[in-house]
Amino acid sequence: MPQTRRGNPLKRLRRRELLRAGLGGFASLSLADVLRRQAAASEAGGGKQAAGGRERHDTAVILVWLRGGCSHLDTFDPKPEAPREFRGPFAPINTNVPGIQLTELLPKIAQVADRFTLLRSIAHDGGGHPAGSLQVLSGDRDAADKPAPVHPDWMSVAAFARRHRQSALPNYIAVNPVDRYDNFVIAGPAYLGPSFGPFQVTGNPDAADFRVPNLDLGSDAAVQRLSDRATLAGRLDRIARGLDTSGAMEACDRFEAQALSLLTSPEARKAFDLSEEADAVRERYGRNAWGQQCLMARRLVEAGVSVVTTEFDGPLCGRVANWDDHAVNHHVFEALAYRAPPFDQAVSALIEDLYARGLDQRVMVIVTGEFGRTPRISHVASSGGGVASGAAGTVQPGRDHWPRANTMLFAGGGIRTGAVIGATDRVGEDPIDRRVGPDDFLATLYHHLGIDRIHSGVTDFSGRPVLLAPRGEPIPELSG
Amino acid sequence: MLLGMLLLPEAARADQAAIEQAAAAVSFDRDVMAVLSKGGCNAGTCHGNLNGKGGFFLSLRGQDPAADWQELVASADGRRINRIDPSRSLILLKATAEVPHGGGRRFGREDPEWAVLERWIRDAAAGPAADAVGVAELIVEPADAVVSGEQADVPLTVTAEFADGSRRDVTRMAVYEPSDPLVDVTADGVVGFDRPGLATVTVRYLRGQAVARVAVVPPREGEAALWRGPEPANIIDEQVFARLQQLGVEPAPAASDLVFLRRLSLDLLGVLPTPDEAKAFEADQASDKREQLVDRLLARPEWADVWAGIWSDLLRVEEKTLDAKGVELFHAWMRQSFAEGTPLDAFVREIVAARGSTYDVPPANFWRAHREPIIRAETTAQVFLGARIGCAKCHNHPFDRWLQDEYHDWSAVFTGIDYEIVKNERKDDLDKHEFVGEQIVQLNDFQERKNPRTDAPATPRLLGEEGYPDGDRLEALAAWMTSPANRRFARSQVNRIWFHCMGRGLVEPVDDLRDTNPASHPELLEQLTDHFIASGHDVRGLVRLICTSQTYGLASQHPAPGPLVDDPQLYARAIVRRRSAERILDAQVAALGVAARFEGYDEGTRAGELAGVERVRRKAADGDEFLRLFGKPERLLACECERSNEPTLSQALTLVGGPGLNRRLAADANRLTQLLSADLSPEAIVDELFWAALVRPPTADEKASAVEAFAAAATPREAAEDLAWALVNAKELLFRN
Repeated sequence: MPQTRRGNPLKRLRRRELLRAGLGGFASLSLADVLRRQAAASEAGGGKQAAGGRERHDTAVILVWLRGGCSHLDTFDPKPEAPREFRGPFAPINTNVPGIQLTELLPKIAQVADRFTLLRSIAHDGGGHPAGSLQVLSGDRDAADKPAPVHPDWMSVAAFARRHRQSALPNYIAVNPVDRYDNFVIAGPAYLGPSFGPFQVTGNPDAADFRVPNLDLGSDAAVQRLSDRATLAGRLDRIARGLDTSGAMEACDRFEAQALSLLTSPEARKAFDLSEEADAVRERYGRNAWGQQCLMARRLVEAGVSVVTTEFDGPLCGRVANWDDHAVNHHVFEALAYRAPPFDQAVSALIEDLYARGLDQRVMVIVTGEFGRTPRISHVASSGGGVASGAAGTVQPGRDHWPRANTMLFAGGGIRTGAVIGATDRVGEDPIDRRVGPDDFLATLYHHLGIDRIHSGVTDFSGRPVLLAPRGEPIPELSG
Repeated sequence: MLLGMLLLPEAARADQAAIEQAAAAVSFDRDVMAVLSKGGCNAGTCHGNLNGKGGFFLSLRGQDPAADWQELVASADGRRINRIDPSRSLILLKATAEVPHGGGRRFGREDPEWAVLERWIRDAAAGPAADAVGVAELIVEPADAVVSGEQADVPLTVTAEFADGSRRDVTRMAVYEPSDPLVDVTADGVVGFDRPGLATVTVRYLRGQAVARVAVVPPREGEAALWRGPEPANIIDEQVFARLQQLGVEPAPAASDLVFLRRLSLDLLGVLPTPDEAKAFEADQASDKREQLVDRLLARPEWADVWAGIWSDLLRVEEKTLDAKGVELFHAWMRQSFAEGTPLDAFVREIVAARGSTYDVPPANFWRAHREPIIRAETTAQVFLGARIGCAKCHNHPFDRWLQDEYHDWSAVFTGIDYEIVKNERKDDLDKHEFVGEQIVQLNDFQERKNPRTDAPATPRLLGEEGYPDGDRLEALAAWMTSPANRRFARSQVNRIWFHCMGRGLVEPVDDLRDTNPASHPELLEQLTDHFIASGHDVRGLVRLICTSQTYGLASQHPAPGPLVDDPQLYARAIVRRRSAERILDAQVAALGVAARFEGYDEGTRAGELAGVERVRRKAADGDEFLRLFGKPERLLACECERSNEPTLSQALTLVGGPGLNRRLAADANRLTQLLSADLSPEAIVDELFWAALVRPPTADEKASAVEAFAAAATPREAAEDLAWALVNAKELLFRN
């Protein structure tokens, strides 16, 4: 029969039930039960299945995002044979995998090359930061910049697809969020709705006075006070939940319970607490923002979070606080040399730790930015002096935007490691082997997360079903 | 139409008939194309996708039979069909999953779909006929059924009437799409309900579409079958109650005075009534005090704030494109129009026909915000005419009448609008969407625009009409759009006004009016449209009519809840929904007596009064941040759907521990300080806080719990803060009911 009488189980879920199911699992927390006596929690739809047979519920992804775009030539795709107008000053070094070389900027990463695979042939046509980011993160095909995403990024899609999951922690957490480039919004849930956006952790987790915003009440007395308030509210807030047929009221209850739990329960907050880690571990990641962001990401996936993004930007990048190494911004080589040590340390530690803790099958780590950088070096006057940039007017080398080629690093996730996929030409301008597009990258992520790209249940504002990464296929060479 | 119990049709017999029909003669246009739709092969998620699937491309929902024929018989080296052994054709082996098929099994060898395709291939797989006639009308029976039962199977019969007058029963080959995912329809058109409820089923066959409305209602006998609804107060109640009576559902009782007052104040003004207003209204003995209240509130200035806000969301009133000055001017102009009661048709004409400096002619900011012909065309259709034409940009609209050519001809209307950029003091050189400074909107001649389907220039044409009238182009456009002869305009605006009063459109989504998306009360929508046109497009008048109906004033709680009572499209009880970001914040502020902060605005400004989205670039005070988190739109889309009232974790964290609330609770000069310094008993303080936040006195239980908290707390201040915290976090404050 072309149409069966009792069709697709996902289609049969009403919006309200979706909301219920989505917020479900929280009911398992005893604190929630105590605080929210309205019994709303008892209807948790944890048993609801998303469509797609091969749902993998426990996998996770950590994205390390190099906002602005990292020079592939000077890091993961060295071109020692290129003419001098392309070649940077950094010599190639061997890694612990014969035949794979990186530049001398990344000695620690070179020592864990057997635990990752480089994709040296990712390419697209989004030449501006917003367009490039949207292409890579949400599969948008538009080469032009736009002020905000029109499609959800893969992180929000994952949060949506995992909405049935039971966890005390939010399913998608951004530790120093990937969200904007200047005034442009480069990531977000778009038509999925704001509840699938990230829980955001801002600030420098290495700072002595770091506290997760909105999460740390500061004192035991404040925690007690909030618990008392919640208890009183539980007695007063008695409007019948069934009156709201949209499910929003129950959703409010669930989020409120989750918020209270994050604020008052030690277990939930512990996942963010880096002081639980041995000093040696914290040192290994690097006592700086990037290192500690990565450490927090590892703690969070270990605690069951599905998606953690962490952006490497800020003062560790140099004067303009990101990787956008046009000559007007930075002396590209000084900038890369300046930021390489914390980058090398944090990324190598994360990879090493992932394997040491047995997370390497479950958790995939990806390191990338929106694009690579122009292989042909430009020489233009600096627009201002500062870290890794000469005084205004000083002509210095730079590299511009280069969507035509970039390198992505993949580790963990049960992939085949110690390999290189694809290659660029002699000067790093274009892939000559295995050109891979953003949809293939996204399909790889969806595959790892067990998300059915056809029957994901995602629909746009007009109710039209959306295919995820329709032009892509999971990168086969990564399969273990 | 009330049917009795219905029997399941003999599906096998229907199949047999279809198989025989297939065996008789197979036409590519009528039969094969129908199978490709019936099997779901040409759906957007399958081979109808722009990218095809597995290298097999079909036109979306069969809009291009000639291309589909090529694809079936010629592409892939013709290996999709096997003329020697038709039953071994790849398309059949795939569809029956005899060879692996990503889309699974679509039908079996025993099904008429298989018979049609096999016979067609056996008969030489002929292509589209030159003289093929399309479907003139698709007739579905029953079109409107009410069936009694706890569950039921309701068979539909579908007849296609072709352009040559011939008719054919296509029940088995039509595609059925129910509006409610809990309802299922079999391949031969039997609508199955597991429990009482309502569903609209869209039926498609080739290019014909029709809609059937089916309701299953619990059986009622004897006493229970008598309908005891209230007397209708106006045409709204007549229609709403008639539908309820038809379904055997009684409306909820009237809401209490205080609930009515709170609801009306929030809906019409966006603010809570003060405790004094509430107490006075409760004490008022006049029999028509609700009508009087509606009139009083409609005369208040906040009424214009609410409607300027609604239209600012729709018309993209945000600072990046309009700049802060443009936002302020455009918003103030709208506010004034609503305050003065400008008829809505005149309001829209002024916007659409506007040109000149965006600083001198505030409505010209509409064109400043919409900078591309396609965006202008889509926004104009959607906001003013309730037509979502976007799908037709790339292919004929799958659910509506719009053809791809119509889309591009309509878009051509919006060429030639240009801008003289007097100066642009853009702060971010890289951000091409940002404009700061005066612009002059100009109208030049039509520019050539290509229709990508034909690759020929599109012909400027009004939506759904032939040609374009003479005279000033924008004046002509505005006049055509708002003319009483063009009921689309009035109908879509009535639906929007209803939506903002009732919490749900008669048509949902509110800006998606089309034949395949019928109104919950089609006659009411037409009557209100007549009323609105006859009133001279008087928004206040229509709001008054709605808010003085019994329907508007029903309680949200029903003594006998059930799937029909709870179905919001019946209006058997008031709809409960989360309040908007602005309303929640303004209620919190009013309850606690401490203003929120908005960057660039005077102290004491309410959220509901704000003109734009972000007056000071990249700077957000606690109020701005609150509104963003609670779903105030960035105003980048001309759609009500951009505003989200969905709860999130960030909202919860802001409510339970956010800096804004903590500041208001701890402030020296707040309502708590005032009450505590007035030497009141805990009981009196509890009363006052309930009135201020929830517009009612506490129940005995609530009062006992709250007074107990005073006894347990270290200081009265602490107790008052905790109680206030609990009240502003109460769902009763976050939701409208």
